[in-house]
Amino acid sequence: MHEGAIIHSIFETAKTIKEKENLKEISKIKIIVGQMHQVVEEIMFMYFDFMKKEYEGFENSELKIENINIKILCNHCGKTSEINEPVFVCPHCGSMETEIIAGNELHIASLEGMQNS
Amino acid sequence: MEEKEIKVMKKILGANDEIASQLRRELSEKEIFYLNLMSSPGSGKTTLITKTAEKIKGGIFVIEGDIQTTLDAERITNAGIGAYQINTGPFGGDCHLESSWIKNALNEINLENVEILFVENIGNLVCPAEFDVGAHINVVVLSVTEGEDKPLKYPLAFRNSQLCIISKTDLLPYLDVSLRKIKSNIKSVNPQMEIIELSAKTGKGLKQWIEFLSSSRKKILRLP
Repeated sequence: MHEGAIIHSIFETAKTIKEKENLKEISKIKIIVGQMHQVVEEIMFMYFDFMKKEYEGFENSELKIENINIKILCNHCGKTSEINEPVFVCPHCGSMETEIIAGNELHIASLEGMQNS
Repeated sequence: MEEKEIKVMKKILGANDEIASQLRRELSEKEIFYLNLMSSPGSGKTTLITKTAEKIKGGIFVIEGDIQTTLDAERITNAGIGAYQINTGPFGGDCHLESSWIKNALNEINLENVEILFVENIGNLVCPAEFDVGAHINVVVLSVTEGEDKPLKYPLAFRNSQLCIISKTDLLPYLDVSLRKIKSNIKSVNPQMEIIELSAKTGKGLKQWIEFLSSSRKKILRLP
């Protein structure tokens, strides 16, 4: 269950941003998760609610997860395709010369909160 | 006070990645070839290391990752290889290793005369794949008894590895498993993956593995 380690990293990073941006209370943390990362959302939310009590100013925050589907670019025919299975073969020409152009993301997208006056 | 949205776009595991990059640089400078072995539990990682040490005399060190017990580290040291155990917690400990833990372990290890460093990651094909531990090469070990579908079920581990060792191939005659299908599934997830078929029992593939270690070490560390 790497979800716990991911949530811990989110809070550690968000804490630094909160201080830098002079935010008092965080209401929302938006993250982007590519389909390549096999995270279980229910476990992410469970860890988030558990850990937020440990971080000052995050006690009332919520986690918002945006999922990104896997997209590949074929270096043979040049077409991009969204794939639903982890088979990185171009569905147009059958080439294996593909690269992932979306779906690898594991990012904090934004923080919302009240700014100190 | 007013509500404000701060756009961030920062990698969640960025801190781990930074330490991993630093480890890769430092071990390259020390001319130590560093490999991270990932697999399901029981695929034969420890046996692979002990068999490797029988072929390469000296110069190997192993960082063992387990949630509990020092059993694998004991097998390694009993084979005459230096080992350092990381236990992630007696109950419900983390199921992967992170770069900062490897960094801390390396601070306690005498790396003099070490040429090859193995991290034997915790047996699990999901979590270890998420965390860069700074290795020069990620190796995924897949035993034939696990069936054909594992590369498709755990794509990140196979996508983030450069070599796949298909282990326990001596058991193939007793299994309803197609080696061809295992290999095509690996290639569909990672077309660039090198594959070595290996049986630690019969010794098949060990020579190819040792040659891989030798040539990759020279290539990556730019040795003569």
